[in-house]
Amino acid sequence: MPIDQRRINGPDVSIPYYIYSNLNKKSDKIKHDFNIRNDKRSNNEMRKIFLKTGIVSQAKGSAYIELGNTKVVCSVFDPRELSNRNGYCSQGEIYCEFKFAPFSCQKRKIHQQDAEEKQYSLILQRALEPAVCLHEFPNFQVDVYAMVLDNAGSSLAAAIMAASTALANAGVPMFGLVTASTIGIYDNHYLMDPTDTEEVICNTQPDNQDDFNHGIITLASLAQHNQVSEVFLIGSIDTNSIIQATEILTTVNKDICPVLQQCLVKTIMKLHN
Amino acid sequence: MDKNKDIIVCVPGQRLCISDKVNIAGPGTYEQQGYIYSKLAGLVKLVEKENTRTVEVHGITEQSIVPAPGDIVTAMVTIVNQRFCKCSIKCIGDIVLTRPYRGILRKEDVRAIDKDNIQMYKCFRPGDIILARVMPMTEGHTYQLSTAENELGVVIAHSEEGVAMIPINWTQMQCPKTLRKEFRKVAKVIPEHVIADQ
Repeated sequence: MPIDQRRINGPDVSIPYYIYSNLNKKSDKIKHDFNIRNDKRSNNEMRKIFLKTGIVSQAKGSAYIELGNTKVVCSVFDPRELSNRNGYCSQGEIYCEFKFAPFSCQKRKIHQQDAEEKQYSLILQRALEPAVCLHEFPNFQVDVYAMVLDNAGSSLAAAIMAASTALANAGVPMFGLVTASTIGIYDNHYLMDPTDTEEVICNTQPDNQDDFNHGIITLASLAQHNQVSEVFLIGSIDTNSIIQATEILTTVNKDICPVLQQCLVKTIMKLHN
Repeated sequence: MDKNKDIIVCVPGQRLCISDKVNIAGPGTYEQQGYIYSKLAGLVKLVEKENTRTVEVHGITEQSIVPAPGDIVTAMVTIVNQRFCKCSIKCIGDIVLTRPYRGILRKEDVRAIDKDNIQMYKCFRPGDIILARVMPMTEGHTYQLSTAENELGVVIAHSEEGVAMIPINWTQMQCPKTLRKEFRKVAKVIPEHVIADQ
């Protein structure tokens, strides 16, 4: 690992302690009861959502979302000029940056963006672009920064919802609000809004079965117009399961949309008085 | 509570009404498949006219204002050379911008007469505050400015002593401390109380 000149250098290598905590366990297989989840939810139940706008004073628009224990802060800044561009563009641009805080995951994250965070930044940008009226600010760029404070599963879906609310709070013209949700698939079980433990289970394939259904699907959609803006899939899932999971996610996104609307209406009523 | 009866609050993507000959989509809204939808989170205003009614949505935050052709802007001169000078646009009308935009003022747009004999260093200096009008955009990343009017030009300039100079005619300004005269393209600024009388 190269020495970082801009930070205090700690040890070259450090390994989290929890890797050694299961050494004495006899059974290697993962035990999980799919009929009852660890937090007493049924398989098609979302976690509680808390959403609030206007929490970052320096930003033009901001939003904070809690999805169970997952906590994400999103900031939107003023449209700014693209200084290094010479041609004229009739469309504006959205720049998205997705970042996990170093303390947000079980394994400590570094300060720079790694490959997963860069991928999530592109997914966040693709999810928001169909909803924003880019032709209203030609030749300008809107900056969106999403920071995950606590990653307890479904962080990408929470960041998409927070970014959509922050853009509406900033006064950026939009065709509609974007809602997103995540589903985990393990054999015949569909776990709505998985936690980080359930995400690990759904990403694991049993040793003795080759064509085992497992994976995670995140779907973002404009629920008011029945339009899907982004689908992100990890794992090995057959076609029928994908279709069924997509229908479940679309229905859940439509159910989440009133939460975003009520949060914005509350903000407008507070500012109007 | 009576005030809240007349308030119509909407969020982006919310359907407002049918788009027909009576209901017309105004700013902050868009039409799609025969309906008017909202683009912003804010309050709905209905502007009644003779036979039509315009539906508008006003956002809660102040809009990010982009200069449009024809606007009077306040800018600060940053770089001066023989053919043009570069400016930083600070205000649009009475509204202070949160982020400055870049403008360019060409030699041919400084004044309306005697264009061939203009010398840029006798019209502007770096640090001057000028009033200018935005021209139609030709380059993608810079706003074209023009001061080819009597009311446009330098309004605030500082001398070498750092004192704000006083305009004495339309081409010169004088330092009240050292009485030294400098050349500027001076704006004919009308006092505000005179405007109020008109």
